Amino acid sequence: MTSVFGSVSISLAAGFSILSIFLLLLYIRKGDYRLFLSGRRMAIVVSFLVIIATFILVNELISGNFNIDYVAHHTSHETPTIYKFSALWAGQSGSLLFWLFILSIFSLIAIYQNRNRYHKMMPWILVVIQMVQLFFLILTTFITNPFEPTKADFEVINGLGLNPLLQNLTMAIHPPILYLGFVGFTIPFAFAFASLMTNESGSLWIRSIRRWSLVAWLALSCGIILGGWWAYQELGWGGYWAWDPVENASFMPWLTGTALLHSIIIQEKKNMLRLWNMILIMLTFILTIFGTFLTRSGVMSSVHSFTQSPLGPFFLSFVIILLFICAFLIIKNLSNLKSDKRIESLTSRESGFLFNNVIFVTLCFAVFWGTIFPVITEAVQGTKITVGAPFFNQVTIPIGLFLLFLTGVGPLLAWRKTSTQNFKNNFTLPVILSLSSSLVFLLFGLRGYVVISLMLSVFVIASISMEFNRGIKSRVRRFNEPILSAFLTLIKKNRSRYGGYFVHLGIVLMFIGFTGQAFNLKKEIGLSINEQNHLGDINLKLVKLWSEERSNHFSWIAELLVTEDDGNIITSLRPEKRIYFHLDPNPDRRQPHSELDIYSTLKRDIYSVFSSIDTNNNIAFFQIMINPLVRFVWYGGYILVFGTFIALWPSNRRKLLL
Amino acid sequence: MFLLFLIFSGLFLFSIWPLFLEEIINDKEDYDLLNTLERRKSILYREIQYLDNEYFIDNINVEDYNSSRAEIVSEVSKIIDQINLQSSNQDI
Amino acid sequence: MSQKYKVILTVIGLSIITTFWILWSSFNPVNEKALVKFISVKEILDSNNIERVRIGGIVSDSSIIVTPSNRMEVFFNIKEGVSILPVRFVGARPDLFKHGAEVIVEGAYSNGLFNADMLQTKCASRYEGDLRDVSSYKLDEINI
Repeated sequence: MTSVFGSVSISLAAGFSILSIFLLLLYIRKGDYRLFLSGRRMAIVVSFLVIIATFILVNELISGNFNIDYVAHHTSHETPTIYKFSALWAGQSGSLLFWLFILSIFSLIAIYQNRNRYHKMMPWILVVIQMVQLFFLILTTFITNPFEPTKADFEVINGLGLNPLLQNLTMAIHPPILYLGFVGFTIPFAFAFASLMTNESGSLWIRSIRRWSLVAWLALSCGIILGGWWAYQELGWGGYWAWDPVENASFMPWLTGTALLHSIIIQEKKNMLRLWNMILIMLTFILTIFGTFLTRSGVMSSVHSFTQSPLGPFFLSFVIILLFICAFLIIKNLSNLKSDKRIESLTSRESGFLFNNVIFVTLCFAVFWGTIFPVITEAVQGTKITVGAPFFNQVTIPIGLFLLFLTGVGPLLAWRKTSTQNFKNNFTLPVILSLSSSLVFLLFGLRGYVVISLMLSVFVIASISMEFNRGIKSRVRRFNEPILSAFLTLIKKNRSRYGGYFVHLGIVLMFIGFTGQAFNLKKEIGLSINEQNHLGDINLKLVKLWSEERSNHFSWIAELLVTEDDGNIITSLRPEKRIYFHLDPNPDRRQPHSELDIYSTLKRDIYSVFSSIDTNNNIAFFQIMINPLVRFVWYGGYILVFGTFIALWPSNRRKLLL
Repeated sequence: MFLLFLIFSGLFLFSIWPLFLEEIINDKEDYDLLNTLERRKSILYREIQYLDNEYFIDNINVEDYNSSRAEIVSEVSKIIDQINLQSSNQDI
Repeated sequence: MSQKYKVILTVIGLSIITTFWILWSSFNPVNEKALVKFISVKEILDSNNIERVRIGGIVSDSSIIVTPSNRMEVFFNIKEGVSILPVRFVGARPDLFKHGAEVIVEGAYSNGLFNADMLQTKCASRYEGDLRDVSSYKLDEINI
């Protein structure tokens, strides 16, 4: 009964959405304000219905109504409640409904926030949001309905449940965070679209969407970092980023979104780069839809599986239509988008921002190219050429390092034009520091990209510190403040700017962590009791090997004593080999799982995986890895989030503006 | 089923209700204009403050600073004039 | 030349250089692992090329043999359609590697044996397959 209610809710929402679009367009033509009020109320009703439908599905998932196909496929009686809840986004149709749910909440917030503002743009903003909602509503109503009844010729008493290996908290929370990021870019897109339709110049609305973009960007960053962290802790191949299409799908909008956050600053301060911002907003939104298409349509596994589900063609046509509409609108409004001011000097902060943008977009293109390369080759040549991580590393490392360089240069440049005197004042110290540090690195025997990366990291840290230093000095001079309070008020007075510098600092730390990968060591070893082997400068000795029967699995546990070459004990590691469903009579249905153990310090991680066991001879096989500097990546992530929060924190004056 | 019908028709009525109101004169756009001017003003004030900060930390040279500041100040004074005009119009 | 054009030229130059770099890299891969052909089992059996390729298929039933002297080494058959390919792999096996698993291997083929140095199982993000009927589980184990 209630499932019917859910199904009816989303169908009705689709109907209301069409009506709302119709009324709003009519209002735009006729100008009768009643039409607008009614259209807006309908938009509210659409969001309301979607939220109801989502709650119904969650309720069915938690109570375990296995008459619904989605519930039967993604939960079971044994599934812990929290994972019954997260089953909402575990499968295709549920995740589309969840997407709609987030969009509905965002749409309600946007309607409330702007109830007394932007009266000219608002109808168009609503139309765009409704169009996107309608697209997803059509998908969930007609193509993958989450309320579809179960098709089975027997009564389903229990569902399939969630794979126990995926019952991991990080795995459960990282998709919704990513979705927040993906969906969040819809609102800036709606504003940009509306401004093109109404010829509204971007001086005011660009500020409103800056916060939206920043929130979406933060969510996207968190989602990406959490995904990497989960892969590192659980998957056991010793890395956090594999250039997998699913990862790339979230990385591409992150890149254009980052570019957007930078160039918005220029439009705010100088009213320049308006055309460029418009392109970036639209590109970011289209990439979020394209990303969903990549991950949901199965086109990545093979072009041929693309047409098996109608979802793929639907998404692809949506993306293509969006591309055409956006290109058309931008070309039509080209003259309005021209900025009245131009960048005046190559060595100005404005041009620094512009170059950074260009690099971000080409980096995004590189990732895009690598991601769709297999699809293109399969479609054109018939043979699919897969693109491995070495390709992505080869292409993106130089581009990424150049970006790092610009991160350091940016804060040192003055607005409009950097005078020669300025050049000397600002660049001398960072350049000297980074060059001398690179000499030290070379003396230590480091070569190639590693030296460049570390040198640039020193450069960026120096330039950020100088920027803070100058700000603090000027406050101390002008207001006679003590240094610490000058530092705090400096941040408080200009949160977005100094928060941004913290984000840069986080990125630098991450780059240091990435650089550590160049020194990764890896070895596969087999050990019997009291035997030892070594890797790099450490020795590993198997001291104990035993098995335990636990509530839902069976486990072999190995205790490895890790010592330095001179005999100092570092730690002991306890990787496990678990067998889930170990009581199943069919050996092929038992599910082995390697529970890895990591000894992590700032300098390096010692990563151990129990890969297999020879029970006859009592030999255990391990994969041992030494991954230097991985912690820097996570610390960088914390600082990035911290910096973004500083930038997002509302100051009192801001309330006036929002 | 009846309940369902009731709820959905309630939602429908809620959303088409405004259509049966008497015609509303849309004065929102005038209000919008004043609002926009006020926001523009506070943005420009912040811009001046920002520019001062940049100047004190040597991120901008003297001529640029003076000319940009003069530019913003004249823009603000224009906007304040407009605001005064608008609000006096509304008072009448 | 005015500064304005310098800015425009730099932007164009930057984008051309990076685009060229991306295209150049896709024709000059850094190593043989960067760009690998993905071909079917039938194709590899028909041809006799020894370049590095990637193969996908199902591990055929009861074909997995772990070498007793070196437990890191494993022999198995990959089945795709009717074609069957014998594979040798040395290294740590993924957890989901078992009979009937969908796997991807990468390596070179010579003399009737595919020497793989990479073995991946398709990620089972959820249980695939049909719903269970009553006989497949014990009801008394379920605590509701």
